[in-house]
Amino acid sequence: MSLSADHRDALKELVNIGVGRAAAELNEMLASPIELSVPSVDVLTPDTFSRSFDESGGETVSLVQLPFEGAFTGRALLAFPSESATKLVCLLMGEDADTVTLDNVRAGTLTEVGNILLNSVMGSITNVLAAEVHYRVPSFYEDHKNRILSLERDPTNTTVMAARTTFCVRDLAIEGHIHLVFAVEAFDALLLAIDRASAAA
Amino acid sequence: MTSRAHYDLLDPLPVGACVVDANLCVVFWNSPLVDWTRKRPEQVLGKRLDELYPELFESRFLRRVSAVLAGAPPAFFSAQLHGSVIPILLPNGAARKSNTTVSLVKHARTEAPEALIVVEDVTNMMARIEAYEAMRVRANSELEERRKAEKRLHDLANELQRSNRELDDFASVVAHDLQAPIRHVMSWSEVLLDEYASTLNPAARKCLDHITRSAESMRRLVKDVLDYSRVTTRARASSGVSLSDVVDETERTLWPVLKESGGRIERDPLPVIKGDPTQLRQLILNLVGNGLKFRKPGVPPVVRVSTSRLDDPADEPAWQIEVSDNGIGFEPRHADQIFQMCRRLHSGSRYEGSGVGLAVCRRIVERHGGHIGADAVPDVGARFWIRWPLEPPDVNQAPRSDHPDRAQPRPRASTG
Repeated sequence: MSLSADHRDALKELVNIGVGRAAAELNEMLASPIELSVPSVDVLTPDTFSRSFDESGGETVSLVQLPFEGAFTGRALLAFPSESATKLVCLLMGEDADTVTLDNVRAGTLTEVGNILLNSVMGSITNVLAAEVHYRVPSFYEDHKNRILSLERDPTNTTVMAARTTFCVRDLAIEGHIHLVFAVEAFDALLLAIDRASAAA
Repeated sequence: MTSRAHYDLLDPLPVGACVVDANLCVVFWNSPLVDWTRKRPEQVLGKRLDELYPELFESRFLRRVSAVLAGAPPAFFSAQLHGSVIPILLPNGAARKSNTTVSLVKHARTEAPEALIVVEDVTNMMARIEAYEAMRVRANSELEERRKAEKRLHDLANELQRSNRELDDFASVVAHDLQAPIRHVMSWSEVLLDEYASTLNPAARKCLDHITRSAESMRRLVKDVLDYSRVTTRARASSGVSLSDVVDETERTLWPVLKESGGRIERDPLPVIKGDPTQLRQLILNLVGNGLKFRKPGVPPVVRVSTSRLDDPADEPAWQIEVSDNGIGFEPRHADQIFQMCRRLHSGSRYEGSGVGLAVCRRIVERHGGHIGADAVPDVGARFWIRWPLEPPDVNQAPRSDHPDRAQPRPRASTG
């Protein structure tokens, strides 16, 4: 199924709604007010997905992963270049970079931020799908981006919806990447659901 | 299978686990949670979580748990941001920290949505992080102290170096400028002796002799002090120097003494070593000259110069240069004193000298990154050894003293 301009707008809106909810949630919880925005939403093939990773800067990537299955199957990922991850955790926790480089401190904080963000985005998307989706618990890992890409590259046909997200904390803009990796048919199902929702509106 | 039996599988897990139904009423509470919360199952089962922990059920927690019960993805609450969502305690009553994950599960029979709350105790991990943080803060502050101390030391060393340089320059200037008046005293004394000898009575001539001898001692002392200061003020770059040539030159310089005493200089085949050529010549001249000077009465002095390689793997490779003699030697307890400035072990009436020669030797050797030492047996002889690095550090320094060594003309007797 081909992606129309309307589809793209609808997807961007869905992600924006989700990210907006996540921002409200994070603001209630964190000491530092945080603003989230979604400058761009793209739909990528696995190859262009790799390129978007390459552009994210830095060699190490911190990744929160939320796998899902059911009516449609895939993974929601929130990826930060390692330095951005450190900066974000420092700002959220008021710690300095030396402590934050400890895996456990990073893992806990980033997993929760990723959890809130990905849950909101997935909530916003599954609302239009009206389909049952089962989730696994979120997990965090950090590795060289090439190794992460080799793990994430699915041999079957996949479509990646990539949303660039900017976290603004205390005048600092930190960029993260939301990636929703769907099997092609699952993505088609999403587009159909969007079509149905717009027809009903 | 009842819901309770279904969840019993979670009892032996090393994490806290509880299950709440859609109304947040507790349907399962595992053993670790009993231990950590000090609440037995009968105290919690059927009760709403927000009744048990009212302070916890702020909207942010409730909203996320309710979302999970409504089908949203699992919610994760980190120890870093929350401490512990369900308060859990250590045996001593202190609060534990935990990561809490809330996931959707289905009732075994009715398939009604329930929330599984898994509490992972991370107190030890957080304590380790806090200990690490404290250690890091301590280490940083120690490092900062150390940096400050090093800076102070560095500043002091610079100050000391500057002050030493000023002293050297001062000694150099004073010694240099003293040469002219001493030469004048000596010259005018000679003029008196040469041209007015016939008019002087014996007592006056004796006085004049004293003046001449004292002036000569002073000239030697001033020359030695100048030599000492020039070790640093007139340093030259290191180059290859044939020790054999140096000993030849020393032999030529000391020929009158060798002839007069019947002495000789023996040597092994000697290598080419790196150093300031002028200073190496002065070093060997001083040591060999010393060996000839402190000879035993009636015994022709024999001074031997030899070298060997020191290849101790724990140390920088170096040459060992030895200068030994068959002279009067000295008490071994004086071995360190002899290198001190103006320190003399033997009376000036028997052995001429200012006591500066060996201090000059030590300064030359140390400037080249080496060490000098001596041992001796009284009435048998002395042995001086030098550890001279194969590759001396860069000792090239421009002369700092800006006063030229001005040659003073010998005064002429005024006959007019």
